Amino acid sequence: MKSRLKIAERMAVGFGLMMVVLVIFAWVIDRRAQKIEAARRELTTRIAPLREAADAVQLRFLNAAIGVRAWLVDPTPEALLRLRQQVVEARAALLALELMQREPDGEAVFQKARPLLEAYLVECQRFVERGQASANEASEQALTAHREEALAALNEFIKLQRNKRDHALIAIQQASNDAEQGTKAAVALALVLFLLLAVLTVHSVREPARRLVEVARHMERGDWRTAVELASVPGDRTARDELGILRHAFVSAATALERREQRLKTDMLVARAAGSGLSREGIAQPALDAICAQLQAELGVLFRAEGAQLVPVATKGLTATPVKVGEGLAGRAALERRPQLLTDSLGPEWVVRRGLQTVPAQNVLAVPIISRDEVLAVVVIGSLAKLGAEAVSFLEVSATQLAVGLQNVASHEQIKKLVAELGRQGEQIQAQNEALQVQNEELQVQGEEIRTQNEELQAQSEEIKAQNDELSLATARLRGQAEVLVEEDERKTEFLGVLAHELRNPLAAISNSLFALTHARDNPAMRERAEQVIGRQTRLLSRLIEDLLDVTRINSGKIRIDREVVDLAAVLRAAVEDCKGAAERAGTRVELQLPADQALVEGDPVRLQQVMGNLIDNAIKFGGDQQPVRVSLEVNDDRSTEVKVCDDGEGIEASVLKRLFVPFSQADTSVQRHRSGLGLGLALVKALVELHGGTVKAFSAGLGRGAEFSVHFPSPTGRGSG
Amino acid sequence: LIAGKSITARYAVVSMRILVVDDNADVLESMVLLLQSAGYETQTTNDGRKALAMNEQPADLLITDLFMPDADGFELIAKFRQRWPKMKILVMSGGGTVVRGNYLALAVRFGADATMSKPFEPAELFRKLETLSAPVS
Repeated sequence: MKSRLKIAERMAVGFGLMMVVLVIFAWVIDRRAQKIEAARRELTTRIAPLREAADAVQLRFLNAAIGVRAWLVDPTPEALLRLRQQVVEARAALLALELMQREPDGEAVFQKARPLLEAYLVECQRFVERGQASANEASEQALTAHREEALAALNEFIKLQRNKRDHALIAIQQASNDAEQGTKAAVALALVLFLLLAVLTVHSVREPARRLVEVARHMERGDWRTAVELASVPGDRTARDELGILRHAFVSAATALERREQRLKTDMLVARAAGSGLSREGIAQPALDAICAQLQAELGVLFRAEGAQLVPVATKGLTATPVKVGEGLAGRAALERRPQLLTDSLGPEWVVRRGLQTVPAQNVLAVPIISRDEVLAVVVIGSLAKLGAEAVSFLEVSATQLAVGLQNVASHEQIKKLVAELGRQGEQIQAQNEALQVQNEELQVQGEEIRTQNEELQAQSEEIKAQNDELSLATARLRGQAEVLVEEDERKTEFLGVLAHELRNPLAAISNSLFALTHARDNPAMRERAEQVIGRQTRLLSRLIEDLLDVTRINSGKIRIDREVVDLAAVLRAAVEDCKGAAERAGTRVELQLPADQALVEGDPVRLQQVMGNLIDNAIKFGGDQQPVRVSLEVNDDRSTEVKVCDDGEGIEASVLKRLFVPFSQADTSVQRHRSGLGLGLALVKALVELHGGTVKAFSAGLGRGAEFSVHFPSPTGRGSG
Repeated sequence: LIAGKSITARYAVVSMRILVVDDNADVLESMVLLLQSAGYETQTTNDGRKALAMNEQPADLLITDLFMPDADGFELIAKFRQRWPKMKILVMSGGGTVVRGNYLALAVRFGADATMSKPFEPAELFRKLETLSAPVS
């Protein structure tokens, strides 16, 4: 039993037995306690009350006797009354005792005493009723005798009851003592049993646990063989306890491991064989030996596929001849490309020698070795033992390894062939190379010639390119000129627009004033005003026309200057004087700074004044409010002269600065244009200055930062007027 | 003024106050002469900014130039139209038809009631004033 129960079951049995012991123990203790309780109840409910009632009867009767004595000595009505009361009390006590239940022995004694007691009470009654007078010694003695007799009988009963009580007490004491002893014994017994059971349980559990631990330790060390031995229970192969299960698992694992190890070893042998050499025979025989050893096969052949034939390259236990693909077991395996298993004998050569006799192999297995979709070889194994699925799978794996080895061999042979081929080709190439070398040298000579030609061509090409560049430059120039022409045309169109506007304003004023003039004949003040407007606007119109004519003259190069030596300071003074009115109207003034030296210029004084007037007029127009226009004149060391006209006005944009002196391009021809003038002034200035051999330049730091116009005249040549 | 009224009474059917804005002093002066001779009450300024700054309706009708140095005529039209929707606006310009597009048409889109190209026949002006002064039907 010990070896058949699991550890948990053993523990359960041990604890179960302990529980049974505990229950029995509790039951015994309880029984004893119940007995004691019953005895105690008997004592308190039956025995003790009877005794007490009997004692009470005795006490009342003695009281009554004392009462009789007292009345005799002192026969007062009080004494008589007390005596009667005492008699009644004694009767009541007797009645109480009589009503109580008694046991048969007690009943017998009580029945004997009761008539005597009642008789005594009757005697007492009579004695008292007869009165004092009739009382004498004799009657008193008779009463006493009665009393003695009755009380003796009662005493009998009391004694009996006392005995009973004592017996009950003793019995209880006894039972208590017994219970105490019994409990002690039971506890001792239970303890012993517990201890015994615990020891047994521990003992039964410890041994298998110890072995489990030991097994685990051995397993940890990898010593599973010892572990299996430890786990096995001799003589009981079907044990279902932990050790049994463990042993079973170990044995299975050990077997599997052993098989696996063996197989790995064989795999390794096959692999080693497959990789050991580069000749088929060198691979084939060791591999076949290893496979046969693993499968415990007595017979084996390794066929190599050569076209439609299978040629044996290694054998074990028999001699083999070549077979055709499709014939025999090996042939079928090669044809169908899957393992073939046969349980019949194949032929006379498939026999195993056992001592002197031969036994035909019952199980023959043929597995094709396939690599890259090509059957390389077939392994055939014959055995007396059964060859199962495991053998097939093993053989397939081994076959794959062998296939790799055989493939290597094939590759090696192929490579050897290729190397030889390469060697041959190399020699050919060498020969060709030498021929090529000769050709190459020839080609090099030709190459030199071509290069020379090439260089000539290059030179020509560069020439053409240069011509081309020139052409494109010319084209670009032409295009630029065309653009300039287009721009000029646009400016002219714009100028016409501005001109129209400039002409329309004076015309409108004149037209309006004429109407007023004709319709307000009788209003001299209005007429006066109208005439003034007409006069001013007419002058403005003629100046515009004069400007236009100048522009036309400049454009056609027909402007004429009368040359003479002129003092530029005088010209400037006149110009500033002319512009005074305009400056005042604009709320500004003109500051003129003149040098100490004379500044002489060869030219037309009228035109020079026109130039200066235009520049100053411009400065007033575009200059800032309240900021004076500054005009300065300087004479250089070479007696050339320089006039500068500066203002702090709205300035000129850099983009505008470039085309400032181009005819028809006033800085601002936009919708916002608001200064009168046709944009001719600066073009006129430039043309006139250039006619005098001078130059004019404009500077401005940008919008809102003022502008400076500088005119440079060369020193007079002394040729006089021309 | 009194004389002008008598002469051109047929134009000034309804007394109308007119504000004229133009940067050209002589144009302004001639407009005053013209309008006064026809009996209109006039008020003028050559500063567009002053006109822009007006808070109370200065007149019944505004005659303004479009291109002025101190203010944009278009802005003036738009502001006046916004402030006094019932005020009539007449635009006259010299640059309106030659330079870069039709500005007079643009002025109408900004809110001008009528336009005139400078120079104009006085009769044309009075016709337009008459049309503008007619009560809206």
